[in-house]
Amino acid sequence: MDIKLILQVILFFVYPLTCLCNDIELPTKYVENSAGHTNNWAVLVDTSRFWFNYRHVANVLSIYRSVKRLGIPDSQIILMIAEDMACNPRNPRPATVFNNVNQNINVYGDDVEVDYRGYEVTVENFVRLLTGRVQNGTARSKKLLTDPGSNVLIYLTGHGGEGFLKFQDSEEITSQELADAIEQMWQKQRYHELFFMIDTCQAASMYEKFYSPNILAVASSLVGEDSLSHHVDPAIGVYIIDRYTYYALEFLEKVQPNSKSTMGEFLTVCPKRVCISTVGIRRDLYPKDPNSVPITNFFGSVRPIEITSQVVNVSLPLIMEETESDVVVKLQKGFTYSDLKIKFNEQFPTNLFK
Amino acid sequence: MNKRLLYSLVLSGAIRYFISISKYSKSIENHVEVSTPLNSFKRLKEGVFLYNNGIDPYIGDIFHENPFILITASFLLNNFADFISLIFIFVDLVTAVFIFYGTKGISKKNFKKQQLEVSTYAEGTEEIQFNESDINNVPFYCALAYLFNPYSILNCVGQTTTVWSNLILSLMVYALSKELKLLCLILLALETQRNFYPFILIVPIALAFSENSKSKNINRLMTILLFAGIFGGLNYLAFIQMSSWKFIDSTYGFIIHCRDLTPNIGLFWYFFTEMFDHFRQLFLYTFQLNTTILYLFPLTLTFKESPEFLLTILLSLITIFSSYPCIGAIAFYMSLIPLWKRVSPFMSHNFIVMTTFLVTSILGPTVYHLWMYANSANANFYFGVTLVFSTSQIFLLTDLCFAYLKRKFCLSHGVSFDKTMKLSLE
Amino acid sequence: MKKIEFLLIIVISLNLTNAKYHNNVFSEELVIKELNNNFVNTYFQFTTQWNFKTNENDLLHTDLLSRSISELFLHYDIIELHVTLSNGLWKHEFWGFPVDSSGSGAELYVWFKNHLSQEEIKRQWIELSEALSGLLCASFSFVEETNTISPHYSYRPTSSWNVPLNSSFIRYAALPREVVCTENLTPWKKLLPCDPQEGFMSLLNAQYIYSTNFHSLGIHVRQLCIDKTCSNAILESKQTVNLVHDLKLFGGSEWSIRKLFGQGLNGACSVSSSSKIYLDITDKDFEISPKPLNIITSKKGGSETTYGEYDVKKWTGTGINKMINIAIVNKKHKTIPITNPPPLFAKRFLQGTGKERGKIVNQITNSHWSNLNLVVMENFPWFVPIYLHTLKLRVGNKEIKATAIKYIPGEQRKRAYHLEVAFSIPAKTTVEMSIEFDYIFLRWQEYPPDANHGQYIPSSVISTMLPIALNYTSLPIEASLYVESFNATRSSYFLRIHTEALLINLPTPDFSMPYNVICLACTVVALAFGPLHNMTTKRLVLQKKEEAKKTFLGKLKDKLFKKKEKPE
Repeated sequence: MDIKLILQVILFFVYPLTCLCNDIELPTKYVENSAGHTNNWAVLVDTSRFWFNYRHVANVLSIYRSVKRLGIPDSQIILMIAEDMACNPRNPRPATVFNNVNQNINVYGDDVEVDYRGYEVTVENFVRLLTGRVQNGTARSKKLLTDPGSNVLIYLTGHGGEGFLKFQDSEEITSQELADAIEQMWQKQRYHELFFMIDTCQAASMYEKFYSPNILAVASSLVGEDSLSHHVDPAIGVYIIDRYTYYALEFLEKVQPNSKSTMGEFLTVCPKRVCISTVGIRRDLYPKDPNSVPITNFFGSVRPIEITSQVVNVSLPLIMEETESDVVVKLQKGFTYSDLKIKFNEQFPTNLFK
Repeated sequence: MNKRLLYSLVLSGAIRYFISISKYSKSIENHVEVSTPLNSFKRLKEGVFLYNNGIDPYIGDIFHENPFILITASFLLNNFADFISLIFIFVDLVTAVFIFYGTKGISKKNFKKQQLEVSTYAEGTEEIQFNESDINNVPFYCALAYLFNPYSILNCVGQTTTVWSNLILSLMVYALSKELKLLCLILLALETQRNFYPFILIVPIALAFSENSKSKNINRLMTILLFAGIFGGLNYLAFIQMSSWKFIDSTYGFIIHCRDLTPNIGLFWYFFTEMFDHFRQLFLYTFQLNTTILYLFPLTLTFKESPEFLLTILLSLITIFSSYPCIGAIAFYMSLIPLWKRVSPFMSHNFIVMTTFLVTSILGPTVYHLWMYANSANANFYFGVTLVFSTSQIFLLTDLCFAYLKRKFCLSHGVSFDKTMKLSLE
Repeated sequence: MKKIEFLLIIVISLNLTNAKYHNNVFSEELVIKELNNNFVNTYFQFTTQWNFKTNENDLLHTDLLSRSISELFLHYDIIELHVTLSNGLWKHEFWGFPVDSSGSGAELYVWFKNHLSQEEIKRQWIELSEALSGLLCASFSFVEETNTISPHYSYRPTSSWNVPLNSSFIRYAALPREVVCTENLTPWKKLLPCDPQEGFMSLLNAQYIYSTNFHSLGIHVRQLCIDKTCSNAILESKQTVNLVHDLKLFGGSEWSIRKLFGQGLNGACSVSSSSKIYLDITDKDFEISPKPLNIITSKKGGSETTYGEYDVKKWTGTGINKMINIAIVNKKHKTIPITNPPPLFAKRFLQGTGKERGKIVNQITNSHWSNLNLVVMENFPWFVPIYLHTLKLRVGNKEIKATAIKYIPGEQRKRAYHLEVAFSIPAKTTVEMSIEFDYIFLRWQEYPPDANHGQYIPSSVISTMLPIALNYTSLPIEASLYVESFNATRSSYFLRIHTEALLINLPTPDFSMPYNVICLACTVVALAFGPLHNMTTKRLVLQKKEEAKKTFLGKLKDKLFKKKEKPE
C-alpha cells in the first residue's frame, strides 16, 4: 500500500512532464483488447457550393448524423461543408436538411458543429487538416488530433471526374495528391486504420492511387460511371440526396452502438439494382477480413472497458480554500456596479462637437 | 511665329475647348483608354485633397504621382480651380509649340549631318534624302500630328497628367535640339520620376550630346552620371518635401509591380489578372525587362548614328509595353514620326496599321461598354481588342525601324535595283 | 500503473473545481415587445458575473462562467470582447432601436490590455479570431489584417481598466457574408451554465429561431476592475439572442410563447439567481393570459414604458399549467397605433450603373426637434477604393460640413479603408452622406468561388447621443441586467445602430482563360521581339526573290492562272 502511495505522489509530479512529451502510452491491457485501436475520428467533407448541390450537403450530414449517433463526439468529427443549406434563404424549412421527401430524418439536427464552412472548404485546408500541418493558432476543433491508435473515417462527396474531386467549382484535388496526403498521415502515425468513403461520379478513381497500408476504401461508382441522385423534393426543387449515401444511411440507421454488424455487411450496401452505379471496393491495402471487423470500429466509438472491483485509494492533495474575507463584495441577486464605485468611460466623443 | 502654326494652334485649341465644355468631357475623362491609375485627374484631386488635409497620400492606394506633381497640382487646384481645363489646353498647345521647335532643330541637324555625308550617297537617291524644305515642313507636320491627333485631344480633354508629361518630353526634345544639356537631363529626370520608364532615354541623349566631343565614351559616361545625380537629387528633394520615402514604393513600385489591374490599352492588366501566383514575379520582371533594357543595347548599336531616331523608337517601345499605357503617350510618340518623313517611302504596313488603329479605337470603347455596362460581353473581348491595338503599334514600330535600315541601305546602294531582287535580312 | 495516472487526472480536476469558493451569479431575462405591423421582438439575455482575482490561476477555474470564455481573457490579454452573428435587417424606422445593435453577418471587436505592443496585438488578434472560429463554428479565420480596423471615435471601452483611452488597443472586423445557423447556436448554447433543455434556453429551438425575420446571437464579455491595481475584478459575460418574429407566419396577430418557440417554458434554469420575463404592455389593446404578477412602469428620458413581469422562479403552476405559456388573446384592433419614427434612422444603398464607378450613400434621418451629433464609421474592404474628396454631406441641395474626419486610406491586399465622419445633423432633416468608389479588377485567384454572387461591404456604424429615450431600449453602460435599464434616466443616451451591408458586383475575368491569356500576351511580345532581334543582329542584303517565298495571294494567283492555262 505504501509503495502505491509513493508512486502516486511521484506520478502527481511526473504527470505534467508526461503531458509535455507527445508519445501517449496506453495501458497494455487496454491496447491488447482493442488491437491497437483506441479512438475514432471522422473527417466528413462536402466540397460543393450552390443550392442545386443540396444533395451533397444532405449526404455528408447523413454520415455525420450516423457517426455522432454511434458515439463519436463532435470534438472528434471534422465536418467541412462548403455551403449553408439549412439556413439558405431558398430553404422553405429553415434549419433543417432532410434526407427524404417525406421528411423522415432531419440529418442536420439540433446539435451540429460545422468546423470548416463556406469559403474555408478548400483543398489547402483539407490537406493541411489530414496531414496535421495546420497554420499557427488554428483552433483545436479544426485540427485532426489523431494518434497511432486512431481509426479514421474519411467521407468525401461532391462533383468528381476521373482522378479528381472538385472543391467549390474553383479548384480540385487529384487522386495522387490525396494518396500522398494519406501516406503522410501514415508516416506521421496519424492513423491506425482508415476507412475511406467517397460518393461522387467516377468515385473509384479517387482511391486507385492509394499506397499506404491499413486502408479500406469504398466508392459509390467505378471509373467511367456516374453516381446518381436518389429523388427530388418538389418543395425544395432540387435532388435532395445521392443514391449511395441514401442507402448507406438506411443501413446505418439500423446499427446500434452495441450491434454486431460488420464492415463486410456495410460494403454490400447499395447493390447495382438500386444504386445504378457499381459500388467500388478496394481491400488490398486492408489486412483484415472486413467481415470480422465490427462496423463500430469506424462509425462508432466503442471502446474496451476494464472493470475493476478493487478499491483504489487516492489521497486528495490539499488546496487552500479561499476565505470569504478576501471577497470585496459578495455578488448576489440585485447588486449593481455603482455599489462598487466602478468608473466607466464616456461612450461618445462629445468633446469633438464643442 | 509661323502663321500656319498659329492658325492650327487656335483651331485645335478651339476644338479642345469646345469638347471640354461639352457634356462628353466627363465621360472622356472616365474612359480607361484615357485615364489610367497613374495619370487620372480624379486620383490627382484625391491626392491633393489628402495632402491638404494632412494625410500622406502615398500610404493609400489611390495616388501614384510624384511629389512635385502633387505640389504643383495642389497649387493649381487651390488657386485656379475654375480654370483647370483652360490650363490643360494651354499646356497642350505649348507642348505642340515645343514639338515644333524641337523637331525643327532636329531636322536642321539631320540636314547638316547629311550634307557632310552626301558625297558618299548613291545616285538617284534625292527622293529619300533630307531636303531643305523639310526644315520648315517637317516640324509643322509634327506639330499638326500632335495638335489634331484625336488621341492627344482626348488626352487633353480628359485632363490627365500625361498632358504634363508630354510638356516635359517636348521640352526635353527642344532642349536636346538646342543642346541644353543640363535642362534636358533635369527634364528627363522629372519625367522618369513620373513614369519611371523614360530613364532609358538617357542613352540616346548621351549619344546626342557626345556627337561633337572628342572623347565620346567619357562624355557619355559623364552624362549618365550627371543624370543619375540629378535624379537622385530630385528624389531627395521630394523626400524632404514629403519627409518620408513612402512615395518611392507608391510611384516606382506601383509601376514596376503593376499593382492595379484596372483594364487599360496595354498588355499587362489581363496578363497579370490571369497569371498563376507562383509565376507572377517571374513574368513581372521579364515584362519589365522587355520594356526597358532588353532592346536598349541592340537598338542603340544599330541606330547609334541617329540618336533622335533611337529616341523616337525607345519612346514608342516604352509606351507600348508600359504597365499603364494611355493614348496621351501614344499621341506624343506619334507626333515625332513625321520627323522621319524621308523614311516613310520604305514603310510597307501603313495601311494595315492605320486600319487596325482605326478599328480598335472604335471597337475598344464599344466592347468595354458592353462588358461593364451592358453585361453582354466579358473581359476577353476587351482584352482581344487591346491585343490587336498593341500589335498594330508594334507593327508600326518595327516597320519604321526596318524602313530606316532599308533607307540607309538604299542611300549607299541606290534605289533602283532589279525587280527580281529583294532586300532582306541575313 | 498507467491506470492510476488517468485516475489522478480526474481527481485533480475535480478537486480544483470543488475546493474553490466561487463568487458568481447567473441571471436570465427575456424581454418581449410587440413591434408595428405584426412583428414581435424577443430579446434573451443570459448574464454571468464573476468576481475573480486577476492572477492566472483564477481565470482557469471557473464555475458558472464558461471556461472557454475565461481562457480567451487569459491567453489573449483582452479586457473586452464583443461577438455578434446576425442575419436579416433590423428596420429602425418601423421597429425602433434594438437593445443590442449588430451588423449584418459576423462582427467582432476586442479591447486589448494596454501593456501589449502593437506587434503583439496584431498576433493576438489573429489568434483570438482563430480561437473564436473554432469556438463558435463561424468563419472568423477570415479575420485578417486586411479587414481589421481600429475605430477612433465610434467605439469606447465599456470595461473599466483604469487606463487612459487609446484607440490603438481596439480591433474591429466585420464579415458581412457570414451566415448564421444551428451550427453557431449549438456551441453558443454550450457556453451557458444551464442545461439546453432547461430555463430560457429551452426556448431556443433552431427551427423557430431561423425562420424569424431577424436573428442575432451575441456574446459580450467585459472585465471590470474593482480596485485601483485591478487585482480584484468582475468578469461580466452577456449572451444575447435578439429575434424578430413575423406573426403572419403564425396566421394572425395573436401569439403565444408556444407559437413563437414551438414550446412553452418549463421553468427556470436551476443555477440562475433570477429568471424573469418582461412583457412590454405599454398602450396594450390585448389581454394576456396568464396575467403578469407584477406591473413595472419605467420612466426615462421623457418616455414611459409599462412592463408585465413574470418571475419564473416563483412560478407555481401544476399539471398542464406547469409549462409557462404567455399568450396574447383578444386583440381589439380598435386602435391603430400611430407610432412616431425613432429620433434617428438610416438607410444605405449603392448608386450608379455599370461595374466601373459607383457611389455609396447613407441616408440618415433626424426626426428629433434638435440637432444630433453623430459619428458614422465606414469600413470598406481593400477592393473598394474610395475617393475622400468626393465625400459629401448634403441636406437637400445644401452641403454641411463635417466636424471631424478620421481617414486611413486602404491599400490593396493589405489594409481596409477606415473612415469616420463626425458631424451634426440639423433637426428634422435627412442628411445624405455619399462617397464615390471604383470597382476594381482582382487577380483571378483572389475571387471567391462564387465570384458572380458579388462581394459584401460591411454595415456602417452610426453612434450618437440621444437627448431623449424615445424607442431607446439599450442598457446603460453601468448596467448589466435588463432590469437595471428601468427608470435609468440620464442626461443623454448613447446609441449605436448599424445600417445595411451592401453587395457589390466586381467585374470578373474569364476564369477559364489563364493559359490562353498567357500565350496570347506572350505572342504579342514575341511579335516585337522577333523583328527587332532580326534587325539588330542581321545585315541587310539584296537577294534574288525565291519562287517559293511568294505571298499567299501570289500563290493563289499563280494557281488560278495555271489552271486556266492547262486546258489550252
